[in-house]
Amino acid sequence: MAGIYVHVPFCTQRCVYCDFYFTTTQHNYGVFSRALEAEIESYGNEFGDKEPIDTLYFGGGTPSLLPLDDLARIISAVNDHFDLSAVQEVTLEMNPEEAKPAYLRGLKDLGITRLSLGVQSFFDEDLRFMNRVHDAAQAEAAVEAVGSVFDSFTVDLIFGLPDQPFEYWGANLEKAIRLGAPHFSTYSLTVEEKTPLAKQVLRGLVEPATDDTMRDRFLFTMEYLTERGYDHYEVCSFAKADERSIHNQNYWRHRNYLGFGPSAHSFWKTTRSKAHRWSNVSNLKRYNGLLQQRALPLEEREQLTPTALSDEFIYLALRSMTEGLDLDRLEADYGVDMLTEKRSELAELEQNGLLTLRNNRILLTREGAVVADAVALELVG
Amino acid sequence: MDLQRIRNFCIIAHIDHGKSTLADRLLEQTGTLTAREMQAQVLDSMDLERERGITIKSHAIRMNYKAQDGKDYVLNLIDTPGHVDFTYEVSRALNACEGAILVVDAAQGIEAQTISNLYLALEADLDIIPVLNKVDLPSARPEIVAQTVTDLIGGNPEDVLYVSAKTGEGVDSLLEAVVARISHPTGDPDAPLKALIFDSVYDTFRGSVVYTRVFDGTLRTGDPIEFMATAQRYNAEEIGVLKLGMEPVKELTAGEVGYVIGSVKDVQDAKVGDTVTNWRNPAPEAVPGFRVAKPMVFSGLYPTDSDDFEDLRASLEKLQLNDAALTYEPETSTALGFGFRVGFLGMLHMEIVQERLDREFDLDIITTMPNVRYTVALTNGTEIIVENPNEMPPTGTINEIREPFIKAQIITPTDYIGTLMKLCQDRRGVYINTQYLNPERVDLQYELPLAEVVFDFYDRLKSVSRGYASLDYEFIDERAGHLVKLDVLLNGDPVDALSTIVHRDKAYHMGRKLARKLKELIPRQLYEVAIQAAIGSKVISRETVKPLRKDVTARCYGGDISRKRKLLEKQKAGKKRMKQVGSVEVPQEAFLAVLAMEDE
Repeated sequence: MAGIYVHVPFCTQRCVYCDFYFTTTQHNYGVFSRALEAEIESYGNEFGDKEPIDTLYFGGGTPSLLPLDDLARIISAVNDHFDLSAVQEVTLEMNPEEAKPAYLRGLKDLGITRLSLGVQSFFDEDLRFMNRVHDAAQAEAAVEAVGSVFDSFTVDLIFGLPDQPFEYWGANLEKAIRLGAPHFSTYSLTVEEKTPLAKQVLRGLVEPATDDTMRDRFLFTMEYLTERGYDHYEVCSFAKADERSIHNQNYWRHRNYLGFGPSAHSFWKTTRSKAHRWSNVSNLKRYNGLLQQRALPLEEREQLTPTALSDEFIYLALRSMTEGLDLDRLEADYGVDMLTEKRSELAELEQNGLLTLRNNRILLTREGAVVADAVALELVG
Repeated sequence: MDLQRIRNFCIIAHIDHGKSTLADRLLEQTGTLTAREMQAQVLDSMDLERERGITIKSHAIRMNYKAQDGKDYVLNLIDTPGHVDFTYEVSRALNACEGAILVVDAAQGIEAQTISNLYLALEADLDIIPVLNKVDLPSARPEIVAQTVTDLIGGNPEDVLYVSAKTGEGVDSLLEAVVARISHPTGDPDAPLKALIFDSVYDTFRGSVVYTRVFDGTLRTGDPIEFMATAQRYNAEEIGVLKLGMEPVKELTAGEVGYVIGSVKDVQDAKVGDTVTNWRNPAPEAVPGFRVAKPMVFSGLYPTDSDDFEDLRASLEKLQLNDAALTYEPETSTALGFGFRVGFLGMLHMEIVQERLDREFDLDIITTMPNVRYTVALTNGTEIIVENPNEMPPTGTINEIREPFIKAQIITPTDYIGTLMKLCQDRRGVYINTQYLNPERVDLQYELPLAEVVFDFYDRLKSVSRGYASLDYEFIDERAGHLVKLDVLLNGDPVDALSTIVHRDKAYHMGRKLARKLKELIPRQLYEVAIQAAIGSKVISRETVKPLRKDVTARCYGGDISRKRKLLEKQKAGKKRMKQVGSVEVPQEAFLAVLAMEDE
């Protein structure tokens, strides 16, 4: 089973923190959809019969800007060139201002099974700071509207905004629970290079929250949501029973996926030791242009060394809070005997309460999740 | 050769006062080099020297000069290293001469190093020609500077020559003065051979090329020679004079300067200051003043990458071929792995060696805090020499620790006397004397423990005097002091490479500063890091590096794992450059923490 990711690079305006590829000006959906179809066809010829597809994910950008017609064409292109007979999950990212009843019903009719709603906060001042399009009222209405059409959806929330009072964060979680969110993706605000936020920080206009604040918020989130029946199944993800994102879990499980659209990433493992990653150009015009000339819109492609591959697996698997890092699989599939190679590191990490070792799996504790990257760094080869 | 037609001289000058440029002019004026051959500042051939404007290795060059009296003269210019660390080498080079040109910058005036070298020259009984250089500069004050110079060496201000090495102005009268004012050498060409080694350089194919000044007798090709101090015997395979290159001659007679090659494979056998004689007909006594240049400052040199250990050894070996004063022996540090304890003449020497390792050998090295050599008298009546703080025996077995003292001479504009005196007092200095050179400049004399001078004293001196003060020093004796070993522990594990020996009165302050500095330099890790400074078992200071509070990527959107993996790879590489002390990862800069500490 493999996943497909489609990157829809259109946005109405730029959120301060965002460093994904998007454009706010060239909204020619038709040209893009045709280019996408060409790309899907081309990869379909190569990979279509290799593995059936179990998840399809529309990310962005703002996929909910795409008219239903264009979405329909894209989905049917995927269907034409890949085996979708066993699809379990089709997710689309949506901004609250797009959550109109007709559009939502249309999405459902197209076979979308799950929405990812970019709420980020239910407070106007937070949303203004982030330069989101929607306001608090729209956010609340959107969750209700989505919930009335879709059983499965996730609410994205960001914590650790500069000067955001602790109460706001608690209130955000509480409100989303009250509105019936079955799944949460909670992220700490990260200052990524070259974003408007980074510039504001550089000019001293904004002071990012301290690591201590981030830590407190994160630990609070884990406790708060798990107490209310959400499983903390990945560092940033919480879900009610049977509501986990299959598509995202596939990333942590080091499964194959193909990414279409500008800046999209793909990962394909052919044999135990042979795997490639590649990414597309981060430029819509070039992406469209290359596909019009029947060329692949590749930016870079690399074959992973065995160490790179095992490092990735360790890093990704650790993010899974319930499955953890399966040491048997690590040894069988990646040839790494971690219990021997990292014996003292493991002992020290366990002693300090950052991980537990159970049934030959390494599981991060909550304290460990807060420093997951540093723990991974201790354990990679 | 007619002794009356030879002049052997050197140039005494402060760094930047124009010695090299003046040497260029002399070579040009005498036609020794054509302008086309002239590479700027030929005498300083190492890049490093040229950049620093310091001659590290002395050379000599022979010029032919037709003086105004119509006679032909041979002028031997013997170059001298120009820094405090090389006092002994300077004194040997001066002893090979009969005269010295004393170059003083007409704008900046006389500096400490110039004065001490001048004293060495006066001690060697040289004829001094005072010269003011850079008289073309608008800021030049030749009259005042000339007065200061004559106050020091006697004579009249009118005897001081004015030149501009840059424009060539006054250089012809200087050449005349060399002939007229510097005595010709004396000596008996028929006496047993007695020649002074004032330098040597190593040639991969021919072994040591020994630079020598013949005092008595005649050195001929094929002579059976002996270096008297080391008692090593060779055959004088080739002898010659030094022009732009080496020019073989059949013989060197009393008064002459030249080189001798004799398959001397080990530079340690041809020591500066030693005497060359003919062992079939040996000189009754050697040229006086020989001693073995002893390293005064020691530091641990460790390759950043432990795989480079053998490369470091090979590089040190190569450096030592041309630098007999450099000593090294392997040592092991629990924190830094395999490395060498390297002995230097002084701080500049240490800096030069480090820089050459970096530049010429492309080696990335970690240098530990420099220390001096201690003599430790034990309670059982024996004495040991300690060149590494970690060799210091337990306190209970020590009767007394003696440390080297120096006499420092600081020349400074009067404005900075106060701050400089404070600096010296802070460094446990003992005030000796203040002498006014003129109403604006003063010669300040202190006795100081060398240990207090080896790190950052010179930088501090320069910064408190805005660069105007200059320093020279000489080793005087060893004195007992209340010295203790200060250790640093990380999570309870001692870090041997950070141990230092300090005065008891300063230990507490130093321990606190060191712990604080390390706290700045050691990055947060997954676990808490306790930094302790301790004397013996007594902890005198403690700091804590709090564990990482948060380190987790928010999301791996759209499957962009490569970016995360590349970051992880970068971090892995960074981790490898850290040194593991127990469970703590210590960045390399931390080992230089002591050097980076500011006086408070």
